[in-house]
Amino acid sequence: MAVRRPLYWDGSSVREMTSAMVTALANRCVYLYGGSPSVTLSQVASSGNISPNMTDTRKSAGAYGTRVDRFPTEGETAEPGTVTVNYDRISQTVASLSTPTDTNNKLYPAYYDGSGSIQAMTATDLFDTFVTTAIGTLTDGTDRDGTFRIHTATSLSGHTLISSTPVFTDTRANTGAYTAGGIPETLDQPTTITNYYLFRTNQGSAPSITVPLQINSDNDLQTYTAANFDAMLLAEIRHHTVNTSGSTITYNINGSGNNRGSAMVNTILNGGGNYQQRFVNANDYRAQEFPNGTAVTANTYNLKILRS
Amino acid sequence: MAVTTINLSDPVTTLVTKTNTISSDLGDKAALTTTDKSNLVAAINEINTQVNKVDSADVINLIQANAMDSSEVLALIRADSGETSIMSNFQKDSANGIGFDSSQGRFFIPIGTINTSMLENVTVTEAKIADDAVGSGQLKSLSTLLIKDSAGSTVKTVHGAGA
Repeated sequence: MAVRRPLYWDGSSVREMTSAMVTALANRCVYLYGGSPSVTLSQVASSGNISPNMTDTRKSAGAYGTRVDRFPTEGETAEPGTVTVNYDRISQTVASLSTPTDTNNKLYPAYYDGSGSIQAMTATDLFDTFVTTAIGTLTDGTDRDGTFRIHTATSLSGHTLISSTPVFTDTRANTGAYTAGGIPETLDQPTTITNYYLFRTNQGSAPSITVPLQINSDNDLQTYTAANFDAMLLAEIRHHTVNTSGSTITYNINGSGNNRGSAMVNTILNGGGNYQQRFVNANDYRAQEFPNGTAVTANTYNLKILRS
Repeated sequence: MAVTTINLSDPVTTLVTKTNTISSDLGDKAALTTTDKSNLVAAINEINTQVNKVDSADVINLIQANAMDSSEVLALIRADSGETSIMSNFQKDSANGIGFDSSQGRFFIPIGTINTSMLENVTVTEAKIADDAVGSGQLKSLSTLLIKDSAGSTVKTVHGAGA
């Protein structure tokens, strides 16, 4: 671990950056990543590659029973069933990136080694000084530029809706839709409780930074152009987030990592069945069990961002 | 030649003759080469003023006024008037780095004579230092800064005075 303090030109002298300046550069990495994330999520109709599948379950009415002589008893009437819907609508794309090339060993900022030399940072130095901090920030579970999250509405300040099609929907039996007079009721009469949508956190405002010095082709010290410095940082963080073990960014459901946004909750009614009868005529006595009970959580799914 | 004297007994003709003789002896003041020709006293005083001049500027002015060239001046200095020659009083001053060429009658500064004690402090200007003439060895309390690439290879060495 070699954290360096890059040098910068203060207008009259070459100076070492303060800790605050180094932190600002790490934040700049986060900002740059937000404009061009290397790992992206999208909403797909099916067969998403984020595992595992998520399931929404709800109760449905049992099949109705009928007799010509009397009503079927509760024991003779079919119990409510369970409807399961699989959601596999999130797909992850990881950019294919090669390692940036430091052709002449002067690509990265210059620092003072404490013993009479000014030296260009190595790629490892750059990673240790800025990039690893930035990746830690990106994966800390809060809204960071270019990362993805779940939300329960179709708009969220500072975010871009990936698709108006939810990636998960929690449904329950619509108990109000079942009536004795309607026997035989349609077995599955759901109602949507909550839709969950995929969002990307927008790139925020650019952090103000002090651009460091580099060793130029004449072996003099020169301040990077802002564009060149940003391009270098972006290439580095994109590379490390897909190629460097321990620093790659991936998303998963209920695996390791930090939660991103709203937890997706599958709720279901917990009743044993609402037994109802319908007299149609002297030769047609009907009974059916409708879903009932209190909503309980059957499953909770969290989109997670993982650094690994 | 006897001094012309006019006696009371001299006749007028003799008075005329002696007066002309005195006038002839005094000469034609218009023939004076001095600036002031108004009378002999003024002319003589003009010469006396020049004679009494002794400093170098006066000497130079005198030489210039008399249109003397360098060879004439040297000849004057070398001339052995029977007294001690002027040049014999000239001598080198080795302690102060001044030599004397007796054959030429010239003072000179021998090569390699000027040392640091002869130079006034803080007087060597940038123009007196030749281009590409100062090396790291001339810098006081040499401080060296190396610029290295990320592989640790030195790509530039910068020297400076450390104090």
